[in-house]
Amino acid sequence: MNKERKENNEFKDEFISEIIEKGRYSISNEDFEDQILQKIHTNVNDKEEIISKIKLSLKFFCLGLVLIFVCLLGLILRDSLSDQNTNVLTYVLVLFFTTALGILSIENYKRVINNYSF
Amino acid sequence: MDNIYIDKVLSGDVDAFRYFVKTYKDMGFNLAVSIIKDEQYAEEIVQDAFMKAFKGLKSFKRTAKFKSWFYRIVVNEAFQRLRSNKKAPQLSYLEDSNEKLLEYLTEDVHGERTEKIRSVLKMLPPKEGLVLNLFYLEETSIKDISKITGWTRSNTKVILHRARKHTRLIWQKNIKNHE
Repeated sequence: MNKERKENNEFKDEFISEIIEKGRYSISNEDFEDQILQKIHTNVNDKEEIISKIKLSLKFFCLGLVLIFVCLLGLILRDSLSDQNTNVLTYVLVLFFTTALGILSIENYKRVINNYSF
Repeated sequence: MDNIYIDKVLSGDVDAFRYFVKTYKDMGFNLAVSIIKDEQYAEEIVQDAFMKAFKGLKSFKRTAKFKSWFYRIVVNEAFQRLRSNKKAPQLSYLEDSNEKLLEYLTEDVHGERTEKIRSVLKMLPPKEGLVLNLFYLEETSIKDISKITGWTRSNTKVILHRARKHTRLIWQKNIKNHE
């Protein structure tokens, strides 16, 4: 700490300080703050719109996934009830891969939504 | 204080970001001018820096000061602009600075001391102007300047030493003669 203070004191210079102080700038544009805030609001609104669209897309994706599950389960049930066991393994495999794909896609959706939100 | 406003912004109160703009716009502007040497470009740089700060606020680590983090964004943005924008005024320094300074002073368009001082400061290389602003205007320590600029401490000291020497040299040779 002392070393740091010593290091800084080494460069103390009233003359240079005065020059730098006198040459100080300030932003003359009075609307500067408003302009930035407006830009930020636009940015936030755009993000919100994108998020709402992504969420809608996610809903449809989930709906599609549920439909696939229902169809596959229906087929498995039908085949098992009618003693046609030939395709059950295929259905289970398809069900497994669809589930894995679904989970991965939903995770991806989450990541995208997180990127667009605070 | 900064942390309170960071929390507010992150919880969705976008208008709370005005506090940061109000507090750091002028210093950000000074840093940008010291690098790019042009007020108009500097204002654009500060605007872009604020937008970047807003977008990156989520990833800002509270271990550092917001101020240092924001100044680093301004400095990076300004150097990047300096490298990429050929239209930005590229002043060459000390070797021909006296001649240019005389030109500035004899023109004496504004006739104000502040303008003359600003002209002198604009003659300094970007790194020297930046380090002078950080050290003398913002009273940033050598250690923090190193963090903001990414230079080593010894390099920062060398640049600061050189900047002081150059400023005195230009001042003594030119300004005094014209007062």
